[in-house]
Amino acid sequence: MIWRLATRNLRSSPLRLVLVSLAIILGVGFVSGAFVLGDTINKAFDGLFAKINQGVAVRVQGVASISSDSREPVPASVLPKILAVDGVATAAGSVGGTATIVGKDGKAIGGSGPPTLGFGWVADPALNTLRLVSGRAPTGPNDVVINVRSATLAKVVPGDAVRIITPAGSGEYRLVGLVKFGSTDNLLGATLTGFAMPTAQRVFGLVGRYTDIGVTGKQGVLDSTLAHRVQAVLPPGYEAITGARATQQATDQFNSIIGILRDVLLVFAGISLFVGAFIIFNSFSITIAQRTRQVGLLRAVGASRGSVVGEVVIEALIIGVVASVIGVAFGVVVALGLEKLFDAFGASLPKAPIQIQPRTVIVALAVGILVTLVAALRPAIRASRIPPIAALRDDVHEVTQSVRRLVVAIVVTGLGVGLVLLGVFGSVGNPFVWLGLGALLLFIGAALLTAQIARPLARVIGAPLVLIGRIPARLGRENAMRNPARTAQTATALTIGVALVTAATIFASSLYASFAGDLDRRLLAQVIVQTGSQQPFTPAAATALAAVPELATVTAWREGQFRDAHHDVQTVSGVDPATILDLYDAGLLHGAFTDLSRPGTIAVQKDYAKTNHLTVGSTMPAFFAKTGTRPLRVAAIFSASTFGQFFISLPEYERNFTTQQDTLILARGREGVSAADAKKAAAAVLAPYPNLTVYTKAAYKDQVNAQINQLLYLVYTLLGLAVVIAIFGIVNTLALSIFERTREIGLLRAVGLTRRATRAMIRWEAIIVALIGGVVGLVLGAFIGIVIVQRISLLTTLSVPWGSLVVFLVLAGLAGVVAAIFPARRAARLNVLDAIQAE
Amino acid sequence: MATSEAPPVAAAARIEDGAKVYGTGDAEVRALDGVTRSFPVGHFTAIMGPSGSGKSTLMHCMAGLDRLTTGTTWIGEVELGALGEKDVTAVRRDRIGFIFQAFNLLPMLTAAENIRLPLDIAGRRPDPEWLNQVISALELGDRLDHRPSQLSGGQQQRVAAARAFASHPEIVFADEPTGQLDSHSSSELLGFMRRAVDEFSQTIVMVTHDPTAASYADGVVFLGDGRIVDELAAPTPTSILDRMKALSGASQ
Repeated sequence: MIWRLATRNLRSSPLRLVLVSLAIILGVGFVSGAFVLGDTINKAFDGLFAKINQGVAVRVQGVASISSDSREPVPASVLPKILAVDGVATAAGSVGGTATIVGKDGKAIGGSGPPTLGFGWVADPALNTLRLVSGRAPTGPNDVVINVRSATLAKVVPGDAVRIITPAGSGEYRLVGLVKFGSTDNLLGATLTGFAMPTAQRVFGLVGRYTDIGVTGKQGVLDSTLAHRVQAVLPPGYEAITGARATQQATDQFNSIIGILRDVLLVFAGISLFVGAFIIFNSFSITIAQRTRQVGLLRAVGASRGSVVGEVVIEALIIGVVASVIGVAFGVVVALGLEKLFDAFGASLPKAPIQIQPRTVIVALAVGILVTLVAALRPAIRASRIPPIAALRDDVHEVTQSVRRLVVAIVVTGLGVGLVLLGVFGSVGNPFVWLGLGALLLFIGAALLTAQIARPLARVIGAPLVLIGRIPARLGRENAMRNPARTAQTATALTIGVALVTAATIFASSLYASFAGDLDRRLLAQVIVQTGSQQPFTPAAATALAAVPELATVTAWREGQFRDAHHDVQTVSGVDPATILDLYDAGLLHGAFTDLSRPGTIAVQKDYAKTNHLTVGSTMPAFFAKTGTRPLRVAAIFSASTFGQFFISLPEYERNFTTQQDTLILARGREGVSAADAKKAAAAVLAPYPNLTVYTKAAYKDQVNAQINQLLYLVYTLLGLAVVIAIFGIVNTLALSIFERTREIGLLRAVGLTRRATRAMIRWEAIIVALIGGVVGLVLGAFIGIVIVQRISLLTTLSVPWGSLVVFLVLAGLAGVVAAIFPARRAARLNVLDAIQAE
Repeated sequence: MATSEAPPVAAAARIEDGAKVYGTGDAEVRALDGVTRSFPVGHFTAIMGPSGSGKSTLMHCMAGLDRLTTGTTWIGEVELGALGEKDVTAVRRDRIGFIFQAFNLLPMLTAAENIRLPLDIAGRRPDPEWLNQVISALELGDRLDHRPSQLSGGQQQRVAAARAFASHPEIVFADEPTGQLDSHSSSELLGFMRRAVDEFSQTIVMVTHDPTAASYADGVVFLGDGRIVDELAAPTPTSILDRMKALSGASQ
């Protein structure tokens, strides 16, 4: 019986079904899409690396003592020892590094995004990551092979000369063949270059060493046994792992990148579902209010409170199941779409069949159904409290203002504020959990609080609109004010999107303001050189710049990692102590940077120095992957945190790090040389290095801003989904309200309200509801954004971009206009006679 | 028998050969079937008839709420059939007042706001003297700031009447205005409507099935099966009842 009622009720308003389902479909779609994409990519990389490591029984490599990037190369002298191990069939060293291919047009292939990988050619095909597609293997010092896609992009064919930039510098090579990476040609858009082994060792700075050594075993020897035996002959600091483990490591490394993507998608899926929950809650609240007499009648003829709850829950269950199932399917489309997007950006993923694992389906369905049920529960309980007498009463007054509700609203909001503050400033557990939970409560509290203040808020927000929109605006405002709880719930869906957009914008704006302000103050260089992707590049560039007559001061800047006394990984910058302060004002407080020229010295940022009780002259231990733990004497203490917390001299850097590549070059022109001329001179001499970009200070700042904005726009795009769902929520509420007010609208039309004015009335109502959501969202977003900015010490300047906030408010109003299009048309089309005669 | 010649002058509303047909073929229903009648200025006319006689349809078509299938209607000299939806709305707003049986007021507006609603929609300034006269005649002076939910049924209907007359319309259409009122409230409202005609020369067309209500009118038009079947001038409740009995007997 209740099943039949539930399905009838659903069928009676298919529009509501669609609008409510849409929120769940989108949310669940992103959950399942995130998992499907993650699993598919995982599978693909797993397959790829398994194939590459197919013949490898054991891989010998440096221990990842600091991070997975900090493995020390293996000395070539280890190779004969490994070959002598019982059970080893063959063993060969391989060499890898970065190598940028320069196209015929003089531009670097791959731009600034995907990795540019270089390898030494390994003769044993079982141990070679590269597979020859055409031509021959590189043998001579000038031979090179590249992958097919790169050759196409560079417009070169075997036999042509091709320019390659390696850590050793920029040089011309002869293309002798084309290759693939294992089974794939396009690996996330990476470019592949293969040199003859001695050449690779030379250009990657690994003469007499290997990045790692691959070992194959004799028939019948277990990989794990062999790994054990090989390990025994290795010097400390090196490990022998099975081929399977090596595959796993390589896959994991790629998956951690994919994992970030998946988590980002899941966060936004969560936001969508949360917004969706508000819409479902609201939708059920409204329909139950409209069905009061029906429910009263049910109770009067003997239905129990339980069966009333059951009826609503079944309705929710049906919506939840149907929407979630569609959502899971939609997720596959989302995953395929994202894959296509990767392709479109030239960063193809290795192909694998779409992975729809049981886990994906179960989690996505469970989340979607659960959210729907939880959101419908309170309206269901409220429905069960409708007394049988309601069937006979005409007017059921909804009392929404009460002291108790106000208290609950304030308590929930307060709790949310407290948890946000705890997350940001506290140090209990995972701050993101507190922050997320706090934001959740904050939004629920805000919805409850908005219900209490929606009436005055609508009056205030509507006041200027009534002046513009006259009578339709006044009627719209009255409509928005008459059921504050409904208005608040509808508005809150939009509040969430606006708040998150606002917080992200304040964060980005403060990030830029802090960084740009610091750059202005701290950066004294006129010319800044970097690769687009901030990857390290050859020191040959700095050497070339040093010879430019227009430039007076040039310093290379290298970065590397070490572990401090607390085993925390820190980044240290290697610079020229003599000139660095002419190019970068580190804000010297104590000591002297020039003292860094003495071996075993370091400069430390003041906050770190303070917490670790370091003063000039004291020593701090630093663990380097190459040299182990070394005591470093503090030569200087400085205040700036723009460009790093630790400085050592370049010779000190060379002592402690294997790889010598620059991340940045700073330069100043001679007295009387303009910044533009200095830049021009630098760019001219760096022509053979198209992977490098030469910036003036202003251009560098612009580029920093552009990077921040790029990230911000990505966040906007993803949050746009939440806003779209919120718009559907407004459409839903308006459509239901119009149904409810059929007779009112009929009366208005009878006494002379034109269709156009009727549309305007609905539109103004939507605008006011949306603006309430916008205003509350701005307040919440500003709170969250400001609190976060205060917490992050790197963000020295709080910047609230008022212009953007005004734009958001206008956009919120526009969202209302868009949401009103359909309901307004529906209201205007109501037949006046039907409306006034409707019972 | 009961044909009526339209007076050559001063017809507030007029219908000529009006027909309204719903459905086609076997399902065809002629709600109005060739009605011609003029409603003179300063007259209070009641329209009576059994359910389904077409009295509501007649009123709706004349008031621009519905359209005739064939025939023409005028408000003053304006032919409604020639107007588009927008212009008909303007006619309703500027020249017609309405009182419905139920749900006559917007719940979120005060009594005063409800009364001024058509004027506000039209963007016209009310005539304060006239408005005061209407409000005091309906004894609503102390109820103006109340919302409909705070008013009794009779008070609500008086507010609706005040709204109908507030803009000094050329004609007021009332659709069973006393249908949901007790006899005391009914006589108050009808007394006011009578005075509006006598003292201020308003024109009223009222659909009702209540002989007592109809007796407040200057004349009664009886409808049956979509046609005017009879008319009665200077009606009393008794004369109306007699005529109704005669008509129902005649139709059997």
